[in-house]
Amino acid sequence: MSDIAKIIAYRKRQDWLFSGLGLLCMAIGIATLIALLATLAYEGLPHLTWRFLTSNSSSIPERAGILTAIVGTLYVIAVTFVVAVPLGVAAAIYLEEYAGKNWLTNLIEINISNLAGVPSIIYGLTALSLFGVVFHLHRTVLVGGMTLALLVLPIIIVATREALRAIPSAIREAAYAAGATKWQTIWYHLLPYSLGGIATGTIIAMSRAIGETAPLLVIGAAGYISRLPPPPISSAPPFLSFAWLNSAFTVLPMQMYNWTADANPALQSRAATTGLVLIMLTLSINAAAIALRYRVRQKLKW
Amino acid sequence: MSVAIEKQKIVRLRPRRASDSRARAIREVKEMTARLILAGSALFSIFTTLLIVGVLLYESSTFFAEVPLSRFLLATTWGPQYTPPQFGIWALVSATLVTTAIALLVALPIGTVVAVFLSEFAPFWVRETIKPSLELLSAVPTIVYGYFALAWVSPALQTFIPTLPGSNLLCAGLVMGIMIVPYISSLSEDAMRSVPMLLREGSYALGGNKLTTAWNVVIPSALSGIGAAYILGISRAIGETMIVAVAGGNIPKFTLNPLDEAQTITANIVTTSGGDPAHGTIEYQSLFAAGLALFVMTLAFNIFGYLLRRRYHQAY
Amino acid sequence: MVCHRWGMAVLGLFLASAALLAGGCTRASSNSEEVETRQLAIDYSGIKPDLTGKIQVDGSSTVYKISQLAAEEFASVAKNVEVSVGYVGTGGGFKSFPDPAKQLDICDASRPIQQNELDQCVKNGVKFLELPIGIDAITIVVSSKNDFLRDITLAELQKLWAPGANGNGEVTKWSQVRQGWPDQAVSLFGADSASGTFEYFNEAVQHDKKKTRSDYTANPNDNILIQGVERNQFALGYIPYAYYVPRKKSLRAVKIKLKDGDEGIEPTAQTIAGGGYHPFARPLFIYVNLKSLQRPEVEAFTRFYVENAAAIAANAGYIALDDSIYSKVRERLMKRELGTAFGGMLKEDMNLTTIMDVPVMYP
Repeated sequence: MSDIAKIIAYRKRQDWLFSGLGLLCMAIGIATLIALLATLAYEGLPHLTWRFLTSNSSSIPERAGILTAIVGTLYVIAVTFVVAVPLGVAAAIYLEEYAGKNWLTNLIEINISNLAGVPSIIYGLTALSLFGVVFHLHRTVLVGGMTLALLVLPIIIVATREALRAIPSAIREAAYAAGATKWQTIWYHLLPYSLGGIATGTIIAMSRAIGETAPLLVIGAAGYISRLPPPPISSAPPFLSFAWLNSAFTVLPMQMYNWTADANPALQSRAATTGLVLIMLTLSINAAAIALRYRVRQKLKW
Repeated sequence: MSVAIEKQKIVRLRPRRASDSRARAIREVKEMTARLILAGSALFSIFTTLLIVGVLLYESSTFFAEVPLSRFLLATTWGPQYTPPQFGIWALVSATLVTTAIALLVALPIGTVVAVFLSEFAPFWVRETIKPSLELLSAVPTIVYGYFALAWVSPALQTFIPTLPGSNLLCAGLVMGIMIVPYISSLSEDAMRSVPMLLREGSYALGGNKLTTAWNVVIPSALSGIGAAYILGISRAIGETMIVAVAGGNIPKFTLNPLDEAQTITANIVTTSGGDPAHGTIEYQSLFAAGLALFVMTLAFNIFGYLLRRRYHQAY
Repeated sequence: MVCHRWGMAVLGLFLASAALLAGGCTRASSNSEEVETRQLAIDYSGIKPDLTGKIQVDGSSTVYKISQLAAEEFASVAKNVEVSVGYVGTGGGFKSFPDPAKQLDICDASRPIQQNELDQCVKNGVKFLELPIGIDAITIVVSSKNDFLRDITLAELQKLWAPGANGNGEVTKWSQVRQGWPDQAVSLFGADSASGTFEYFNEAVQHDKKKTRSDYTANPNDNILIQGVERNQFALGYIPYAYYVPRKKSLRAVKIKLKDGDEGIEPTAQTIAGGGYHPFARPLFIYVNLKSLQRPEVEAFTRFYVENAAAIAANAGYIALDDSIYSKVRERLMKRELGTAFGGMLKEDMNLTTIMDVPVMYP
């Protein structure tokens, strides 16, 4: 072989080797994922019964279940959704459509970027102090939901901004040309088009909130509660009850943490079962978000 | 409705009515309220930061009234039940640093290699099949990672190192590293992909293969983005709670030995608040002192990373 | 693109099936590690299902296991009553108990109420009933990996846990405790200062309920103590009996010798109930606020608790008192006899057969 051919062969081999290295690194990640799922399945799958899903927590392993945790998760996520989505979408609209390039806007953007990087446990400490001292009430669904809302706010803001940026300026200009005001443009034209992106971002944010443990642990895990938080429907008018906002709660990741740390090995395997439920929940939510994003991109043709 | 057809001549299709100015007034009110509400929502982020900083400073001030700052920063034992109570933050910071270092040793190489591979080498179908699994890794809740570290990684490590305690910093660090890989790889890959093709083509024209192009052209051009990704990873590792609380151990001690069982700042906050200290006790206040230390550490990295990211956005 | 969707579907299916196959098949062939729990009979007949309201129970993490089980059993019939049970520690419970704002109905306690706590109750006009409901044995545990420590004398325990000049312990190596033990660093685990277990242990070992060395891992969460001990072969800790029982594989209970040359006594149901496990067998109490007892749900819960205390305590992993004692406890509840029988003092080594013989006094 000539010298040049040798060099070329060497270079190509280098490329192949690095590709192999890249695949190996990917394999490490995938292998970890498989090992994780297998461990959860090994320990937890035998206990994943209908009874487990519909029983209350208990210190007797055979009777233990995650019903309180599931209901608590639903309630807390509901509060998170109601607080975070309007706030986040509104902030994003302002930043994209209204804000000028001045120091205030820069400050806001730095703040949002910083808040995204604040460890989640600090949000818990803030809520503990604010609600514990000022309101004497820091172990409720409402506080938990608001804390998580603060946590996922940056995700929703970023997703909404991206969705708004993707809309070509032709749409805005056409609306203005027809005499629409800024708000009318946003409400009647921009928001409908960006709904897909906003929905995707919201779903990812909720998925993140479902898996969060640290801030809720700081706010306060009650030891044991014998009853589910009251349902939002009551039998007396006005048929809508808000008592559940004020009640103590537990959520799936908190329940998993309590059982992981428990001395009883039978309860530790229930932790694995809870983990299975949690993973299936977050993965299916994420998959839904990805599918939604894909469909939205297909449908939107500028 | 009016239509402008000439510069000064406006033709009205219908006569002006009194209700027109009323409608305009209502619209303007709507505009103003919309603008105010939206601006308020945006300013809320500043309010949140001020709230967090305010709470941490306020609660820590009562703490530092009792515990001198020098003892907090210089002592190496953390023991609230000692007489007098000991609050040397280095006991907790050392464990945080050890787990972060181990996590970065795992995540930085793997994450960067994966990013380079996906951006420069992988054919389209490989990229599309493999990227979802990275997204899956980042979708797993951290408590599940913690359980996995305790239930599988720790016994696996113990077969190699029999004297290893059941919870140790090495185990927690390794799992944390795998958890951080998606953060590093996706941000680095974004940075690398935004390097213009022209630069790569120049390198190929000079006879470079993909690896030399990546190493000599793409990575240096995307350096600030990759740096921002690294910093995000560091910040994430410092602030991680559940993996270290479950698998790292709960004994506060100053140690640099990864085979040791020690408590990080975040694990300390979780365990102490789990004991539900009453408001006003030194244990309660120590939560916020530890939180302040944590916040300062991550703030420094976050601001650095933000500045780096802004620079890389402006480059192209 | 089509590739993207196919890729995701294939990957997802592959991962899921790999994991489930690996997990499910391996599991099917191995035995399940369930801890058997004796299910003693509980009489639910006294509970009216239409009760409503909230009951707050908090205090000792030792008694927590019993109260939580009682709450669970009670709530299975009285579905509309919300019973919440915490484990902030005996000290923490007694801090909240006299405070009307905290609304603590029942305080779990692993030691009798102390003088300063009693004074607070009197000051706030809080009257209470003291009801013993079971027996615990503070268990000294070491890891099953530990090969040298099988028994220990009280004198050695005292030396091991004694504070030195600066509050830290004087003993740093096992060889300093007993000749022949390895020259390795001691690693100690125990209750935190808000815990009744803490005070009882120190009273029994140092004869001063606050006296202990401070350089040990203190944590209100007994699970953390257990994990610390079982992973370190040179560690020693003290925990309530019911936390030790499910962990017999990884923990070993140290036999207690009153003095050198004695036979070491191990904590078992017989030695604890019979008084042989000395001085660490202790009665467990619930303190019920008299005003709370006027609410029908609290009355029903307390009555249910006391009537089924033997079964509930046993099912939770502790030791039941004698039946004769329980009937006297029921009588005390019915007659609403207020106050404490221990005069605000901590007496270690109480005779478990005579605790109901001393009359209660509310100052």
